[in-house]
Amino acid sequence: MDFKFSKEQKMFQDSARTFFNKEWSFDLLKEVLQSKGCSMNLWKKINALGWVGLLIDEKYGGIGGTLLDFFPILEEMGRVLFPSPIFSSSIFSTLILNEAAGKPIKDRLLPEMADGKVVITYAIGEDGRCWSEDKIQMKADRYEKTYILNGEKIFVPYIEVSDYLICCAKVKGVNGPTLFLVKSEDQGITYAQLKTFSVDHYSKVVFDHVRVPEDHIIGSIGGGWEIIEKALQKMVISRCAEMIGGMQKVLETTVKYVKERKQFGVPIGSFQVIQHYCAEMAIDVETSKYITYMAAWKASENLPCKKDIAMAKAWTGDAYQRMTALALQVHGAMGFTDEYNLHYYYKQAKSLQLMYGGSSYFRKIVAEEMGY
Amino acid sequence: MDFSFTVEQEKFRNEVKEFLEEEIRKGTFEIRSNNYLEVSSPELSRKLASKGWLGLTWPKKYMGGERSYVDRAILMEELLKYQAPLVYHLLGERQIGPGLLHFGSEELKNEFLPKILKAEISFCLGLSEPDAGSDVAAVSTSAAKEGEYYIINGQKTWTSNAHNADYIWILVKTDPEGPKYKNLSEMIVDLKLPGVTVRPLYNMIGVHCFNEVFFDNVRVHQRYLVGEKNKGFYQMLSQVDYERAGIERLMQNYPVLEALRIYVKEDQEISKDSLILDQMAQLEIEFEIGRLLCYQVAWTIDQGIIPNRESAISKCYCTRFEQKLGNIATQILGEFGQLLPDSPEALFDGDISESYLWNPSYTIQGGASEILKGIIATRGLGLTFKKDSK
Repeated sequence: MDFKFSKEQKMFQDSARTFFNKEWSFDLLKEVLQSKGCSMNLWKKINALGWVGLLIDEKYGGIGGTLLDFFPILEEMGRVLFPSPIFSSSIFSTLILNEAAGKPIKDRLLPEMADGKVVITYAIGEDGRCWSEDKIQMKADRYEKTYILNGEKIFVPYIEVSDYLICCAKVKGVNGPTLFLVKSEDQGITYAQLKTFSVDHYSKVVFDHVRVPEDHIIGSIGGGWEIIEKALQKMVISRCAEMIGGMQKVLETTVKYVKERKQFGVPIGSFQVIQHYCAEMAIDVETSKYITYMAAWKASENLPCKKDIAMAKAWTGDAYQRMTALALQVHGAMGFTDEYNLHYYYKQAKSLQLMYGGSSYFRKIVAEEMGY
Repeated sequence: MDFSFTVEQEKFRNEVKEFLEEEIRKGTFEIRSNNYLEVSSPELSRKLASKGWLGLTWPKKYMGGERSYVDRAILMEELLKYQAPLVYHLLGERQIGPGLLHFGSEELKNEFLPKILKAEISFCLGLSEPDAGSDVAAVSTSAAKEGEYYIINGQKTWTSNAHNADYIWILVKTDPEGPKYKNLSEMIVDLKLPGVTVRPLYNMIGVHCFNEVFFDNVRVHQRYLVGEKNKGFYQMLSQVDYERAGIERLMQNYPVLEALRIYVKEDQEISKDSLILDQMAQLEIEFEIGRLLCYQVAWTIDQGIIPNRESAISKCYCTRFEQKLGNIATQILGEFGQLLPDSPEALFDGDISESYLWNPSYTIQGGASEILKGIIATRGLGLTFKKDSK
């Protein structure tokens, strides 16, 4: 057993931390939140460093790494709240293309993704609860060599900066949904950003008679769900890495604060209750790390990990929510201000707890995997 | 990063499992929560000893296995799944042996280590006193020097296994004038010495598992002072991490989890109740996390790091889980959740119900959760106490 990052992973993490400390700030975060949702300037920089083509094969210009290889940078992004299409594009969509796209699409798009020139997002969920085959209502009607897509998708990430979307729709008469690769600028696609308190940009996207050529189907007709499931699980565990990075920063910030803030003539960090709160936060960080790393390790080793990923997401989502709430309590009114910036972590924690189904949905998966 | 066990480790786990299943078949012991600490079985302890499973991590120089703490965690996990009675050898093997290895003279090591390893003698631990619980340094049992002997007077309490043990490892005040924390020493006392009286205490389950131990002018030779005089408090601090670190902090009521899983699966109504399934999933998640924490502590020790922070986190988290398990399990059983073992209608021989009564002890014994959180905050996060802050 080995509970720590390898030397290479640690070096990667250190480089990423140095990079973000230099290049990213809360001022920049505020700026992008009001605009495109992501700094494409920085996105191109980290692509140039080769940091986000990790899951893309070497022959397409990527690194050909595993999910665990990705973790150091995902933690660092979560630590500084760097919003980006890394989860939607570099992880989810990359995995979909790797697994099921035909050679022409792979040859054309994967190298461009590895270069940072192309960003691909997904449009799968429709009801904001969980992703489920049965809930897919979006229709794909065949007309000669084209499919016409009609429907609405919700919580589509970073469409503002995405060149393509991977959508999931049901072809009439076919059991099971089909995946389509759609250009975001295609006629018939309109979107409106959802007003959330998340650090990520999500949109509602309407597909009104969007025409997709049949050679833009990914995988088999009706065979979309299995592909989505696998990629979704990996995206879910990746977001847990993001959560861990954020949690560690919140804990550090809180400890620093309680050492400095004085009341009753002494630092509040010398009060037992405050110390215990910090200890609880430390327990939340520690436990989340190990359950997440174990699940990610299993995924990277291609071991069955559906249950482990569900456990990690359920626990870590709750832990991040819990400890950010406690951090705000410890900071008093200061933490409640816009200026102090702690609130971004509190908001992102809640957003991540809710994403992809929420903790009780993932516990349901655990119960199913337990045989109930 | 690696969350797998080696082939040898998997083999070892199976070996232990097979041994225990055979013992269960033979009726050597029964599976019941908390039995690992409640039942003293020199026979079983000697069987484990004969397999070389005691002192697994001790240096080969002292006839130990010189194996990793992860290996030991594997052994303990399997032993605890079946609640094998361990108390006869456990305190000696888990923390007293390591205490002697770190601080004991060669003479003491040679006198005690082989006998602990072979489960020929049993130890108990005398730390707490009526006025010294979490405030361990407030112990007042005195050891006054008279020639080559120390004369011990005082009282220890909550002493588990004192009624079965041969020796007691105690923390005593050797410098009555000295400053707190720097006036205590650790000693080994033969419980058969004149002046020692062991009086049973009954817990809220009605079980006798701990005791008061009185010392009335007990003469102990100075060679039984372990390590350095007046450094006992600090020596003890290094030993308690071993007590806290183990997977026994997660699995004291493991049979309750197993019973609950079966109960929920087999009940027509409950197995479809989504709220109960949600709770079962949460218990599963929390148990798995606890298991990871315990292995992580073992791994930390194997890296040569003293696990102050890690064992505090682990025990605090794991004992909270144990209590949650008991609380939820009794509720899932409905009104039957209160039926005790001698009630004919009791489910699972009343184990779930009776085990619930042990719950309060988990977060108190071996380091109260509040103290552990203080350690996490100070040792782990660098915060300081109020009195040190001005």
